Parts: sequence; structure tokens; C-alpha cells
Amino acid sequence: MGETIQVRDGRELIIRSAIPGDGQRVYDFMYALGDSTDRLLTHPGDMRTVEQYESSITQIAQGGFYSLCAIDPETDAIVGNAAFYPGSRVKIAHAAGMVLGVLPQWQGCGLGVWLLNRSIEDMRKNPKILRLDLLVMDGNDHAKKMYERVGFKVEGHREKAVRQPSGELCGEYMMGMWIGNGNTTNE
Amino acid sequence: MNEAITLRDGRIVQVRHSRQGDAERVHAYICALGRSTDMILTCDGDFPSIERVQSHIDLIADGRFYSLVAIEPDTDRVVGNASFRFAERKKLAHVADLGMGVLESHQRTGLGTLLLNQAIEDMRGHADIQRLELTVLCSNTHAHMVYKRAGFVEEGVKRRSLRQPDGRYEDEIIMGMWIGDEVR
Repeated sequence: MGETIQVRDGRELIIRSAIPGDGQRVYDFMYALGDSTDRLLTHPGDMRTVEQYESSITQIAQGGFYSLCAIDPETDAIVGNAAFYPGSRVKIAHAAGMVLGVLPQWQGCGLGVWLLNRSIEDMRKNPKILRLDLLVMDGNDHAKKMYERVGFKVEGHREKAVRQPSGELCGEYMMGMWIGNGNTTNE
Repeated sequence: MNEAITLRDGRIVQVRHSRQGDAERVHAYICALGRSTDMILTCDGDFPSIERVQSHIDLIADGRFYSLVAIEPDTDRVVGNASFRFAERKKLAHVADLGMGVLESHQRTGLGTLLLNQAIEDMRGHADIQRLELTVLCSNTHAHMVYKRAGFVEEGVKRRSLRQPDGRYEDEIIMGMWIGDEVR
């Protein structure tokens, strides 16, 4: 199941959508990711439960969630993920919020960009989704540049929106991209 | 807070925190508001259930939700509200997200500003909350001005982030206000 890809350094990964039963794998991935960086909301002191991850995964079939996983065939562990959450209200159902992460030992080999491009491609095939958005914390310049390169534009900056466990306050950039027809300005 | 307030046009409303027993009244208000304006996220066909409204009211006692309502004494109807949602994630625990509205029958009476100022004042008295934020449609110039006057600052514009039931796309302004002490 899934597709095998080779990353720049020659290692192989399996790419597939999250499936029921992946809850624990996603939890382990998010735990390791949150432990490796403070540039995302999840951290070991504030985890969603395995059941919550499992419940998100069950919404994939109805189009309520999207989750693309990169899996290390040797360990069967998730090492990278791109997820989209479509708006849950009628008026914002055309917009999907994105979350992307790659574990440190798999960074620098093109995996992040690959997941980003493939997941955006999938969103473009979804006729209901016309807008993508995401948040990037201050200091995560590498991610911000990557998002800009694929077409996201900075739409604003939320001042002191995040408080790190250390007490440090940090802002986050709001980024958006229109993937429907027409340009991004109102007629 | 539970006070009778005289509005600019002489009418009186009771302003108080939402409490157990309010679910039906708040639900009726949300539906009336959603039918009367397209400036809010809620619309016909996407109204919350009474159970959902109740579940929000249940969060108030634990300090996980804040809701101020204005009630018309003659009819016992809710005619305006200001609420703050608190984020579930620990890194966002200092942030509260504003939602508010006033029924057409009570607009331009100063009620919106009154509810907003009272709600902000209550957040200033909240030990954990240091940042307030909100989303307002670009086309809702009146509300934008009211928020600006209260101290909110424009932080960005989300392009075509909302689609009206008639198919029109609208931009949304994100506003924020720091009410904590720290200056870093």
C-alpha cells in the first residue's frame, strides 16, 4: 500500500494517506516532532490523545480531513506528514488549514517540499477546496521560505500569539494561497 | 455583572453573563442574528444546535468560555452578545477570541460598544488572558471602526477566506490587542 519514493540522500520512504489504525503512529510522530522543535503548537506537555488522532483519521473518508504520511519502511514509523483541515462551517468550507512537519533526521533531503507539493496537488484536485492557509511561527524562516516558494503569501502577522513553555512570546505569520480560478483579489 | 442599562434611545436592557437556562434564548438569538445579516459566520442552514449552545454554556463555570448577553426585559429575548473563546492548546492559553453581535432592532444604540468594553474589561481581570483577537469582514466597516476604537489593531487580511451563500467571496480582517503587562 502506498507509493515508494527515494529522497535526495538515497533513502526510501513509503508515502500514503493516514488510515484507521494510524492513531498511535501519528501520536508518536507528533510527540517526537514537538520534542524536536518549539516552532509548533504541539509539544510533549500538550499532546492530543491517540483517540483524538484516530477520530480525525476517520473523517478523511468524508473529506473532513486530509493527512499524507511519509513512513520509514525499516521502523514503520511516520517521519513526515502534511495535513489539511477544511473549514467546518459552511461559509469557510472552501478554505483548508495546513500543518506540515518532518522529523529532524529526515530534514534537508527534500521530503518537506515533496509532501508540500503533493498535498497541494491533491487539494487542487478537490473541487470544494479553493483556498489554503497556514500559520508559521517567528524564527521558522526555513519553513516560511518554503511556503513562499510554492505560492503562499504572507497575509498578516499575529503579534505575541504564542507563548512558549519557557515563557517567551512569539508571533506568527498568517499565510494564504488561492488555488481556485481567478486571482486573489475581490472582483 | 447583572445591570439594567439605559441605551441612547431610552430603551432598557439587562446585561449579564450567560447562565444555565439560557440555551434556548441564546440559540434563538443566534438564529435571528444569522438571518438578519451576512456579516457573521453563522448562516441559515448552518445554525448550531441547542445542544451545542448548551455545551458552550457548560464551559463557562470552568472558565473555558465567556459570554455576556443583553436581554430585553419585556420579551426576555437576547438582543446582543459578546463572547470570548479560550484556546485549548497550552501555547495559546493566553489568547481569547472575540465573537459578538447586536440584533438590528438594537443597533446604533451604543449597545455593541457597551458589551465590547465590558467584555474587554472582564478579560483584563482574567489572570491568564493577555491577548484578544477577532475576525471581521472587510465589508463590515462599522464593526471594524468599533473594534479599532476599543483598541484592536489590524494584523492582517485573509483574502477570499469567506464565501457568502450567494457565492460572493469576501476578505476578512484579523485584529489583535495586547492586554497583558509584558512589553517583550
